[in-house]
Amino acid sequence: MMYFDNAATTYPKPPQVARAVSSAVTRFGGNPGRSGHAMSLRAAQMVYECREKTAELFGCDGTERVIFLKNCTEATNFAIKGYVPEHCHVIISDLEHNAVSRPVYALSQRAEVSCSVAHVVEGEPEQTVRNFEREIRSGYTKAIITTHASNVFGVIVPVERLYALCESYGLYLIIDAAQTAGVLPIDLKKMPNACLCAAGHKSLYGPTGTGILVAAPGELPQTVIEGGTGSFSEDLTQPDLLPDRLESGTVNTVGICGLSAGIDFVRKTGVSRIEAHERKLARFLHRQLGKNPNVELYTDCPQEGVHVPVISFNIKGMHSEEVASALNRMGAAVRAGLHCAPLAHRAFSTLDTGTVRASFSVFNTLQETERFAWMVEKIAGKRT
Amino acid sequence: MTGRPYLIVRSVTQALRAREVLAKAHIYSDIERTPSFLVGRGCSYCVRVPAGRIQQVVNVLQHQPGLDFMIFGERGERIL
Repeated sequence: MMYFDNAATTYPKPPQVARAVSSAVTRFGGNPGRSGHAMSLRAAQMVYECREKTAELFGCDGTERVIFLKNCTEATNFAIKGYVPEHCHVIISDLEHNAVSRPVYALSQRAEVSCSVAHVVEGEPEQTVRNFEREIRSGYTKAIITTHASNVFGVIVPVERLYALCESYGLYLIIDAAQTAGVLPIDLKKMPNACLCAAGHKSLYGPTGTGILVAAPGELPQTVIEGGTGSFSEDLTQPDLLPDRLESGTVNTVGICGLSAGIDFVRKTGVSRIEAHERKLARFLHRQLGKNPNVELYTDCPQEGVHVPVISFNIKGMHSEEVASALNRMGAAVRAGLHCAPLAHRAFSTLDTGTVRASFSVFNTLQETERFAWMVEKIAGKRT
Repeated sequence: MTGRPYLIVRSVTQALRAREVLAKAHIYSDIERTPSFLVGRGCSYCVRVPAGRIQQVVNVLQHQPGLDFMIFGERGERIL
């Protein structure tokens, strides 16, 4: 099977990640932060080291602001429900995944939070920022919540410019970096008050069941769940310090050990090298598919700073799910449909058909991308 | 002073940070659960630091952001 579904989760994982996960069961059998015995402390040390690596990767100056959760969706939920107060207004982009749009909708139903949707203009960061600014309601808007890049179309949102906008209006910026952490450089030194949500199992090459929230400095977020933290056990209220406040219950020690190895892999390989490799493959595929009049593409050929390496397409006259099934039978794994991002599909007028999405990792090769393009050609050719 | 004083912090993460920062200053310490005579019923972690280097420990840790700590002697007497 040729795997082009890396935007869902990367596969394969680097061998060192598999080894780390396997060995974690025996090496880190204790429960971190719960006991004083050597096994518990050894596990806590490993988790701490992963926090440090994560903080360093994202330029975060506070190790304790790195919160380990089970996925990026949990991180966006903790951020949105933690920082957005009742009776206010937020702005999201028109490229959002349901990881953002559903929690925002839930707040609109129970906390009187209203929401505006700003249009992201592909390759036009200034226009995009103006679209967000136009939606700000002075004194009422409290946050901009945006994906860093569309999981469907790969279009990058200019988060550093939006951060400057947020700073000038006193808003929170919550970034959903599910598709960018490990592929694009993310520097929180340039956005020190931002809140960052990331998947551990995508381009950080950790195992599934790992997600990261880098909490904003300063005001502590409201909790979404409460429970045991191994600290202040005598109190019924949740601790007022991070990461304990947001990490109730036993953390995913095995997953975090794998994530730690994944982050090591990304740092050693280099984010820019990974992105350059994937972009080369994405550009090749875009050019190949663009030659076929039966193939519909929705974005320009992926460009640095404009797109992450994700290609969405359709074959005229076929539903995206049909195409994905045909590719599966030929030995290629892709995702089709709406990719949990109906807003993005509405923006690109693909809500009825969905799209076929090919997404890359550092392990994809040019040869298999050529083969994939040939498969699409064979399927599309049958339509003529 | 004999024995190793208890540097009490607020979480295991803070204890790990304190130990790491101290190690960079060549002050070696160990993490333990805080004994009940110091914290009563609650769960807490502490860092056992060398008795003769308390002032150095304070100097190193006092500039760490968000790291609140107290120091007690082996018999529970408050040192800092």
